[in-house]
Amino acid sequence: MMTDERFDVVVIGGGPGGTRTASGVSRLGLSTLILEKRERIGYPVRCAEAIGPAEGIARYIDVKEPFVTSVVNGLTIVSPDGKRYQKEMKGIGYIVDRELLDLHIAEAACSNGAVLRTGHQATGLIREDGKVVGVNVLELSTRRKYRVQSKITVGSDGVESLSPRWAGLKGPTRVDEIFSCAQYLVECVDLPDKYVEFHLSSTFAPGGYGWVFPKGNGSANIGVGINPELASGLTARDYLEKFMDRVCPEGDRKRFVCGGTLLSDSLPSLAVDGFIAVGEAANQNNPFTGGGILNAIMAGDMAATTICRCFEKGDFSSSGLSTYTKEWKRNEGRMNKRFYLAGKVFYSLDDRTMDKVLSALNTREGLITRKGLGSAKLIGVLLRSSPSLLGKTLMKALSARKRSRKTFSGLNT
Amino acid sequence: MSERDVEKNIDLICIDDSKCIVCGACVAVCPTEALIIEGLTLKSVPERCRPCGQAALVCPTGALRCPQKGEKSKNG
Ligand SMILES: Cc1cc2nc3c(=O)[nH]c(=O)nc-3n(C[C@H](O)[C@H](O)[C@H](O)COP(=O)(O)OP(=O)(O)OC[C@H]3O[C@@H](n4cnc5c(N)ncnc54)[C@H](O)[C@@H]3O)c2cc1C
Ligand code: SF4
Repeated sequence: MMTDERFDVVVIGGGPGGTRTASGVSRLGLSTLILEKRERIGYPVRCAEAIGPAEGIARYIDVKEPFVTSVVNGLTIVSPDGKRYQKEMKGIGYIVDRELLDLHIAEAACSNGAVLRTGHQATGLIREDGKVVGVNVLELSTRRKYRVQSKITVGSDGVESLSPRWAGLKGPTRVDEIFSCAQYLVECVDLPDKYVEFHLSSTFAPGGYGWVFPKGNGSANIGVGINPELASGLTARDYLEKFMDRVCPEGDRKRFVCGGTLLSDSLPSLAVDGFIAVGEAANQNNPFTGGGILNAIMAGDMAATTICRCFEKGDFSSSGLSTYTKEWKRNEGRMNKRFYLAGKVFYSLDDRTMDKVLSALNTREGLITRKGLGSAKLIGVLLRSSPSLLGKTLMKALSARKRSRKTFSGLNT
Repeated sequence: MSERDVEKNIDLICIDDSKCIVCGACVAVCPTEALIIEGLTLKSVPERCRPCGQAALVCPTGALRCPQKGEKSKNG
């Protein structure tokens, strides 16, 4: 039998975006339920575990916590012709233990009063008069189905997110807007200690990059993210094997991780009546690097602030919730738009042009600073290196976006 | 219907369980929600599949086989 429960806020997904939102709203006394379909928070890990810049993180998390496995002191970019560009920046970021980090954020939410149910999956949204008023849930171990009513539903269900699609906020992801990723956690390797490495080459990572992120104690996350459209029949895992042969043939492969990470522009709107989307579910990753941990945490805090205001006013409409969209766009969203454009061009360069661009970037002071990568400067260098390509790529990206919107609406009628 | 039945019966979406590590990349791109993850199991809803081949393209491990438009499934 279906039973009904009521919470002020129900959060779909127990990743950093969802639990951070839950933490913020439950701290102010709103009854909050987090639904996580996996049995364990943070497990299995689907991440290369790099997070930065350090100053940005310090605003949200106490970095002395045990989830920090190593401190990053600089980065190396390796161009297709093998040239290495290095930049030292002491303490620029961290490599974390993602399982511990996710647990840490979830525990903070629970200690503020949020209820966490693992093994419980959202299967659809409940609507009344077109407004989202709750979630249908399946308890996986018993197959029990139940409904949770709520004033606000938060869709933070990550890369495989369906909730923003159910809410009508987004369609499927385009194949060229996702990095298809594969990674090994490797032990006992003769690799850099405190520098993160990014390798650009169509041989090892077409339309993407390979990474070596040292975790400390002789281990590192070594992986590739590729554009599936350029993969010529090979999988990310195939490219990973080639990359391993290049950077670390002797390494002891401890854990295999794979997944997709979004490179899309932010959604035009992040809320509808009674519903708000957060984190990767809302395309809030950095569309240049694919990184999304810090973005999800930031978005979670912004969403929580808006939700609390809406409860004060008793207004759960899309216009009440739109403060969140505006705040996101004013801050990270604006930068992500630039990163989206820069990424579209950067990852479509052939190896020879990439060599030229990287050498031009190398001489460009201030491109990589303690605050991160300068998106405007990056676009400047790309413009100078290949102006015609920039124009062509942008036109292609824009018309592909239009096409995918049409396809999406056609498929869903 | 589970994907195991699909493989045997209508052969639209085939999932190789020995390769799939349930990462969700295919779910993100499937335009019709013909793939869903329940807990830690990837399932298919074959009646929703309009063979476009997108999901197989992004799979990092090569665990999926989805025919492209126009390509015939084994049963016709
Ligand atoms: C290989 C790889 C490497 C990466 N490396 C980095 C990196 O180095 N640095 C970085 O910043 N980012 C990295 N990312 C991206 C980063 O992992 C994500 O952007 C981040 O986890 C997003 O957080 P989130 O809370 O939005 O979603 P998630 O962390 O994905 O959390 C979503 C949660 O929702 C749950 N869920 C989904 N559907 C439902 C449902 N219907 N009901 C209940 N629960 C549901 C999922 O099980 C999941 O636990 C990487 C991604 C991949 C795939
Ligand atoms: S993309 Fe491949 S590995 Fe990931 S869930 Fe789909 S079939 Fe499984």
